[in-house]
Amino acid sequence: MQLASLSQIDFQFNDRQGKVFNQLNLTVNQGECHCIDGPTGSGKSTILKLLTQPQAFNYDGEVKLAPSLLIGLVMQDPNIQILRQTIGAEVAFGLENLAVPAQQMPQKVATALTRVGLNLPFSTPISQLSLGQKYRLMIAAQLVLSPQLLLLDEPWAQLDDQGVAELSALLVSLLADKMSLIIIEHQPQAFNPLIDFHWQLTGGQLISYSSPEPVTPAASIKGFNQAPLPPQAASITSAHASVKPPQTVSHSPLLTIAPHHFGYLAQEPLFECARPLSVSATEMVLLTGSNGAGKSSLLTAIVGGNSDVDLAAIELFGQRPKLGIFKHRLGFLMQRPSRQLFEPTVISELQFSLKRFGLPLTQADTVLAQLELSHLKHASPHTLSYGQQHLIAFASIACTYPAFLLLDDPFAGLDDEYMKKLIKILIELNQQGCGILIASHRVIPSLSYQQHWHISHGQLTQQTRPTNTHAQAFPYAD
Amino acid sequence: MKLSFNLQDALFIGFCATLLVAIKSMMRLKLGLSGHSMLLMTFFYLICYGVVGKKGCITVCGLVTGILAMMLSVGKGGPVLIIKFGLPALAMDLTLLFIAGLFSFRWQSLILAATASIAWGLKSGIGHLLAGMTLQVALAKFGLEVVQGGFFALIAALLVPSVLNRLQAHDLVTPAVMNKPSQTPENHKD
Repeated sequence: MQLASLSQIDFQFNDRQGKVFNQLNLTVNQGECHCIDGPTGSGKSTILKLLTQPQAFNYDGEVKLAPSLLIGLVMQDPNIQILRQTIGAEVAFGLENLAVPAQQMPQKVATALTRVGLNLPFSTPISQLSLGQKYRLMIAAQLVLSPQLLLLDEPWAQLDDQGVAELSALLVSLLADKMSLIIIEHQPQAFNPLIDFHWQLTGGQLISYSSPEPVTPAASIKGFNQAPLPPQAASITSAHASVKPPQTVSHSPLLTIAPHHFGYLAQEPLFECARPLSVSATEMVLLTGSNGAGKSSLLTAIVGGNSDVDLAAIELFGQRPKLGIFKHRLGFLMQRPSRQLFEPTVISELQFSLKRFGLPLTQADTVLAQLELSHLKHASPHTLSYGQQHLIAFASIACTYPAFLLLDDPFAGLDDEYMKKLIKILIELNQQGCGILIASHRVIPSLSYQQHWHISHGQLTQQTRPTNTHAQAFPYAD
Repeated sequence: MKLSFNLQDALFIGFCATLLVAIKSMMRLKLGLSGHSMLLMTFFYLICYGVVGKKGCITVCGLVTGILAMMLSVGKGGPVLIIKFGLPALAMDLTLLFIAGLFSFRWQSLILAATASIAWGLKSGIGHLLAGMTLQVALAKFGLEVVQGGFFALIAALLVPSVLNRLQAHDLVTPAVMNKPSQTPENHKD
């Protein structure tokens, strides 16, 4: 049975931009799983929005939905879908709107939460959940309504490995129940066993392709080590080097964390840091842990953004963290890029910090060129895709050339090409004496880092890792 | 010339009028500065014009504001409130008949702010004459009030383009006339 179809869809956001969709076609039947891949900012999420609210778009072509079709949508950033304060109320919200009898709700809500592996009391505040947990919560909020078609926007980026495994198992059971799925995903390998149809969104059309190889650690970023840099990137590197010549790098630690129990005041500690940890100007450190382990909380504490955390054990630039005191020496990329974007255009967003700290405004153009985002210079950062927002937020920090960078899940929403560009800039910054701490759900094999910190079972530990120099991992790097 | 408003236009006009009255009633500023009410009034009228961009939209916004203010007793004057809010709006719309499309939105805003201030001063001047003030004194008062009201109205006019810019950047509104100096409101949005 056909549930939804897009036929000959032509669409563009405005006259100044090119076509997003050009004669795009897609048909979804009951029990099918479709996966759509494509470059960052190519319009993948727009397909989902078009299916859920076609009346909001001025398009040519035809959108056909089966009568009384119920569609569930989980967006890339679950925060923008959250309406209530507690997880029970959030999942029950849809039921309330459908006037389901109150006595039936607890059972339905509990079942939905159990299906997504979120076995927490109904009264748990949503603010205490990690982003990955919020993503699962939003899936539960959709499942409780028993939709026939479920749309998922980039689940891999938001979930840890265990979360992906649990989600895969859940999706298998949903498909067995004849639910249809459309998954937008840069890493389709993670959901290979489920997917019936692979699509690549290219040139405004969906091109069918065969199943990619299953994900392996070495190939998790497709062809990363093999791919040569585009010629323009090499020239940009030279230009960049002339803007910011290599500096004499100090090896003294920029960040030190003494042994302590980390957590919010008057609450159970999130984890214990048993050994002293430090990051120097020449180091790139990867911090991994599952959803809710405390990665973002630690990064926010290092910035000085958590007033209800005991910061006695943390020192950055030899000082106790406090918001605002480090100025442009410190750059912090939040997990939700939209929280740090506020200017009306991309270029003014990048130039804001440069003006504030009296730095050359040309640095904004340099970083945009390095990321090959110059074409978005005059676009509004608020209307860009999630991945593009991540890049712009990163660029707005990187263009000040900070001495220490904290990046919370910087690769979410990025395709392989942009991921390569981002990693290349990180290496360049690192080589110029910028200490970098990256929080991520999982190990990024192609990322060259000197230390690996891992949070597991309430312990923050330093993992042993074979030395992986820049030259080995990035033969094309300087 | 197209005078009809669609639902979206009507809702936005109502939104501007309601917000103007609501803010006025909540703040109840007693600054002792004559003309400061022109700041909010001009600001919302120009925002309304920038977004809706159709002839008559400011007048409708002004009349709705006046009626709302009268019904909710925001300000003194009873039915005179309709004239107080409606007259500057009408003056702005009449001015637009001559200047729409000739200047950039920023310059249009400044000219409309000046016109609204004159209309606002005129209302006070007529009131003074009706109260028995001599023509000479009433004229002096009129001039003073136009200057005072004009000061605040011009501040509002300077704010409006950047506010609309930011609203547009967040995809909250689609300004009909901003950044399109060569287009008149009605030919842009039919």
